[in-house]
Amino acid sequence: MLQKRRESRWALFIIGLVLINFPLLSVFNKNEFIFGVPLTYFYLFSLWMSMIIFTYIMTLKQK
Amino acid sequence: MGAGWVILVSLLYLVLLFLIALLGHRLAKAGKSIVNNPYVYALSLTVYCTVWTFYGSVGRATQTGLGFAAVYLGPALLAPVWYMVMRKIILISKQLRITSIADFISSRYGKSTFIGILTTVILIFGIIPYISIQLKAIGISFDLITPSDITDSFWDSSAFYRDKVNYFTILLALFTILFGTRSLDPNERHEGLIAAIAFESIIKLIAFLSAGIFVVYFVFDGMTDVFTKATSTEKTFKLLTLDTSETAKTSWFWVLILSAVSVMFLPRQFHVSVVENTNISYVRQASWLFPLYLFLICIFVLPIAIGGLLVLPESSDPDMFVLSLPMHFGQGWLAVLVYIGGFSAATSMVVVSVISLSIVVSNNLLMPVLLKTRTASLNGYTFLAQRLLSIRRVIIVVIMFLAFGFCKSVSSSFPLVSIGLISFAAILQLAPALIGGLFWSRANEKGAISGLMAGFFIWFICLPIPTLAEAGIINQSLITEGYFGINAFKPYALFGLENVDSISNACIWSMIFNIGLFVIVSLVTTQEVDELAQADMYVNIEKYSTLPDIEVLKKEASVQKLKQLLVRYLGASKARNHLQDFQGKLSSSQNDQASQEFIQYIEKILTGAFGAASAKLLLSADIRQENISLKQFNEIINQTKEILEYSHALEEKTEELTQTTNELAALNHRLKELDVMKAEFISTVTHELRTPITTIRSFSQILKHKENIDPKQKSEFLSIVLKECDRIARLINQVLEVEKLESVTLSDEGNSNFHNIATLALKRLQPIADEKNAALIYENKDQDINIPLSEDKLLQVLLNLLSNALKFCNPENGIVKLSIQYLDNINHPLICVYNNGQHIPDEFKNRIFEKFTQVKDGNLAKPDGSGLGLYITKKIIEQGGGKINFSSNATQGTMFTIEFG
Repeated sequence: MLQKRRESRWALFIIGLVLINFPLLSVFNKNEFIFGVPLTYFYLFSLWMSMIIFTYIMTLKQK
Repeated sequence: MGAGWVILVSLLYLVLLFLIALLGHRLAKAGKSIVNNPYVYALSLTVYCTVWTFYGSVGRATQTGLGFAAVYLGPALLAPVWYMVMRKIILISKQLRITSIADFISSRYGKSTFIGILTTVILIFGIIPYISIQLKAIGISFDLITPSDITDSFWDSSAFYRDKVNYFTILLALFTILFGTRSLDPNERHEGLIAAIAFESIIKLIAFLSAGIFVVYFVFDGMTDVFTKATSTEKTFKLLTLDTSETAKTSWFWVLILSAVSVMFLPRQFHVSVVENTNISYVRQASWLFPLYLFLICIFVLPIAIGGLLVLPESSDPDMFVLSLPMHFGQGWLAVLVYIGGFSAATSMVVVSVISLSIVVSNNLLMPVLLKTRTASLNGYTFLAQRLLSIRRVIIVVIMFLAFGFCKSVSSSFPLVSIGLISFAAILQLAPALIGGLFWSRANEKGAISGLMAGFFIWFICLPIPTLAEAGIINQSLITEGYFGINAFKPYALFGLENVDSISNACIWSMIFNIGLFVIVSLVTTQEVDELAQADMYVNIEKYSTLPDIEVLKKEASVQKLKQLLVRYLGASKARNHLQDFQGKLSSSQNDQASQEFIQYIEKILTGAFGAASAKLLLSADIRQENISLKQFNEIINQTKEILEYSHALEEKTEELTQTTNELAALNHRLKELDVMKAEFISTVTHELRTPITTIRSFSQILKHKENIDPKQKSEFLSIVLKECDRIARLINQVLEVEKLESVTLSDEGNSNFHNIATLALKRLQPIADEKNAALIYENKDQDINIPLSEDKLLQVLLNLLSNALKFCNPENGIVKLSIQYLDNINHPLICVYNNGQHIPDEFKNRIFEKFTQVKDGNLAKPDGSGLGLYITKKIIEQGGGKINFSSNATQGTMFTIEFG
């Protein structure tokens, strides 16, 4: 159980690392607007919020 | 706004902070700590957000757009694994009473004095520029908010006494001394300080969000408006996407790494997250609360940067947009709030950084160096130890003025973030030795020293020196031509690495040499005995933290000498307190030979006060360590491991035994249940037997004693006796049948033709049907249907069901119908037995198939049967792989169905 939790934490970290770096970042780094804000701005901040939420969920699982 | 007014506000704010700190300290002492919860812990971590964040982010965003965010995305990215690393570090630090990052590293490598010194030097070089930008930001924000005497602008003031930054420096130094050197706590905990830091974190967030909301929703018309207007000029348009040049991509990556490392290992971060940690579980909460804070403080950075570029005159300093925007629109109060926010960011960073640096410098640089050079004079270091607080105060003042000097000479000509990143790159040099030390037990002192030195050297020639050159302090030609005029030694393009920015260049080369040497040297050299013990502890801390202190090396010392030592270094009263804490165990030892626990206790106290390396030096004269070889040591380690494994195995055995016991208990329970059932069965059977016997007995008695009995009545009595005898015989047969069914679980397979058996059963029951005047109907379209039951059993089933049906059918015009058909194919025969009698009452529906269930018929006073018929029927059918069901209602009568297949 503990092992599984540890592995999912590392998995989240690695997924984040891939999503937040080039070359994948280029996909969202375009001169476009979405919901009235630039796509890059939207992408980075949503990714950021997702990391926070998933980290939060993992702290719940700990109990 | 008048300068005097702003100074007054700043002073009042500092007084408020100090009061909060005092309150926090008092409450903690009274046991009602306001600091001891995960939210304050998470807020204290946001000491990460300095003026770099508060002012510098916007400045950075005017150049790189969202590029500024990498510094805050790094910690968010790290968040899921941050908990695991920090948990380990905190466990180790608590176990060993570690009070600073330098102590942590030196302790890992056999309490190495040299590593302690090396780390301290890296920290001094790395952190002083960082402190300097805080001073710079306070200065320029102060100048900006008090524009009245423009001629006396901050950077023009040449006279020392006219320089406001100078006064701020003195003020902050005093403030830090008040906060951090009130008393010498062996754990270096400062609850009051943390309360103040948490308060400042709230202030800076509120201030920054207020400025952001003002710019976005009052100056502009919401986020969309800001971003749409940004497309109008080229300068702001390019900020909407990330720069995709190779240089920018590399830089993005390295800044992410730098920030992820710094958020753990900056001395101030280490101090608030490890040393001041009161409960390890807070780390889990903080792992999402802290990134959330960063998220909030970053939302408005880019809009403010765009707003500033669009609205403010070109000459404005982008680093100060947060402040100059409210001022530009005449929002005096908001400007003051922002100024206080920035001031908060600066003071919290400066206070915590300088306190942690002063601990590092006094414990890991000053003490060991002086101890080594003055070993002859015992009084020499008694003096030192007793004046540790005074020494720290001096160190604080020196650090503050070094930062001030750096601020005046270098930082003035650079943006805030670029100086900050140089500091981050210095902290990165500690990462291999630290993380390697945590997870790789073979990492050794020599490897760590080589890595640290190489990394520090490359960092030094790639970042600080060329920065000094850019500031015009040393010859600028070295940037363009390289060191010694050699092209390959250009500091910003070392060994010809082009197309990367200065930070990435330094990170790449320093990491290659740092990690490379660390790993290679660790692999080719061996560890000292002292180191092995520490390495094992760091890597396997979970194991150690669950056990009482394990010391693998036996140490010898005299109790008297250790006591003297404590008194000499901590003063009489402190030493007495500590000794009293230990009294219980101490009094038991009669002779002067100190117990292992006592030696460890003293070691820990001294480590807390002076750092691991210094404590080792202090004790070296008085503690004799068993001189053992590496081989012996390994044996001891292995023995410890064996003991641990053995205890683990025991644990497993215990668990197994518990499980077996549980199983046995369950079985026993089941057996008891069966026993009760058996007893019930027997009592029911005997009861059932007694009823007919009583009847027989009473009629026989009548026949015997009454002589003039009517022959007609006599024959009636005799027939009742016979009937009751039959009933007994039937009951006994059925009981035997039940026993047989329950003991034989596997059916003796057989097949029988349904038609033949059905006709036989019907023929036998016909007389009863005639007697009751009931119609017995048989429906069968296919005479070749076979049922997977032996002929005897099928006959019994049919007889049971049909006789039941006859018993309960309508007494006026009874109908009993037996039918068989295929359900869907030839393997699924369905037998139906129907009667048109009263329906089965609801209370019996659930237990009709149970033993001795007798349906009370309204017409019959006493049911005529054993109550075993349906139970036996059901058992037989189930053994043959079939199912029996029934449906019953008042209007249509009752139907039993038997399904096979």
